[in-house]
Amino acid sequence: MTNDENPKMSQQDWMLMHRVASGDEDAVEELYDRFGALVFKVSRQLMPTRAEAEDAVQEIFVRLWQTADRYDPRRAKLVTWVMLIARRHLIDRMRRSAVRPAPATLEGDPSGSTTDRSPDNPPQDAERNAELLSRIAELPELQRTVIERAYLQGFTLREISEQLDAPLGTVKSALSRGLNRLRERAKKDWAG
Amino acid sequence: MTSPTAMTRDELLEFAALDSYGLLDEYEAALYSRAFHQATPSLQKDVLELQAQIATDETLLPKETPGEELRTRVLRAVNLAIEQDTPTPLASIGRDVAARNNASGGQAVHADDSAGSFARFLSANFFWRAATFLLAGVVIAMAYVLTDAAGQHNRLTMAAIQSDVEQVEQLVGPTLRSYLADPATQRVVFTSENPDTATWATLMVLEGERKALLIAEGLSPRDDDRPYTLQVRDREGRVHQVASIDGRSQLLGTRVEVDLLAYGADARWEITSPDGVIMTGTMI
Repeated sequence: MTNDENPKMSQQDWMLMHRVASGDEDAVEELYDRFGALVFKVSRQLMPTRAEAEDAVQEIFVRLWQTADRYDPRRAKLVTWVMLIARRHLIDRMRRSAVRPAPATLEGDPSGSTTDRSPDNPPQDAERNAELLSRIAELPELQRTVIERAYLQGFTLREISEQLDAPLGTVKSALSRGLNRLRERAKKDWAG
Repeated sequence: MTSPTAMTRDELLEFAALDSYGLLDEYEAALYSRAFHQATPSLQKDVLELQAQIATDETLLPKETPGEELRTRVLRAVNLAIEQDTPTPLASIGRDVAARNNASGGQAVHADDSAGSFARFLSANFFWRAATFLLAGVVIAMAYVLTDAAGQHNRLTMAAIQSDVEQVEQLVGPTLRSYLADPATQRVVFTSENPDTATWATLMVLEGERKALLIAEGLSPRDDDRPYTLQVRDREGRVHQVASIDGRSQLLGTRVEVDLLAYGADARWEITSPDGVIMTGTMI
């Protein structure tokens, strides 16, 4: 249901963020109770350890409080806004991280690709994202490579374009198609 | 120069999906943002729907769940941040003071009030209503923004952290937080051209309004008082002057108007001295 179809929900979401912005503790709790689990899951997917994922969740909710007065229900549903802020924060964190692998180490290793190849936790990573990685492994090579680098490792599309010596538009299309295919397959599996 | 913002429906939806994943760079995010605003209401509705589907899609996410202790920890951290958010006179500029007062008094917001407030919000240019300046927040914000550029802004970060907060306020200006807080803000990162100039900068752009805040270190005041120049070099090598910047202090913030899309994705942003020496520029 869109915001237009449910203006009451849109208004409630806006009011919630309005209250969060004004420092209302109950509103912050409500925000966490609605989105905490989802934010944790995406953090867990992209951060190398559970401890780092929890740190990231904490930072994301502080950031959500800081940005709350900018939420515009005409521009995005609240869940989209929350997840966008979460994902951008996580990608920034990954880009700042020293553990991101050098592009050269990625070649020819589709099965073991993870967000972090630091020696202290590769098994955790592989286990944590096992299902996703197995799905990614089924994709055509370019889509697989681009998704690993952009979605799981935080490289920008421009960086990937340079790494692969491929046009930016090709990289973007491969990423978009690959992600779409992943979503569709996952939905089918869940439905089945 | 005409901005290349026209997108087909499929292109817009493709951009919208990548935007949901946070995977667009600053140029493409600006391109997408403008195309979204230009789209028909019906297409905008489809975009919102697609993005919400992606945001709520848990099929690709790990199945682990957070513990109750994380909830306690997160709420404590946010409440601590709120407590440390001491209002200053500047902080109330444009802010919905009534809402803040209501919350601080522990009173529930009445439905009628909220409906009126929501309606006012819908008709207002809300971006600038929210400009809040908190000195401690600025220091943290500076650290965030400037360490974001692959560690190249450590010197500026340290300068910001070591600065007296009043000095930071005077140098950078009261709008940093509003740029920092907005997920729609695009960041253009400049790197020093050579060790002698040691100039670093970040341009934060609110694409929807074409307003930007330039934060720079190393544009020292000159004896001749001539300004520095923010300029763009397009892919054909043509130079477009965007703004003059007074080098009033080692660390400064200045507001400029920019159009990220006007010069193409391959454009290179530069800051030059009055003598035409490139002090710092973006990577192509």
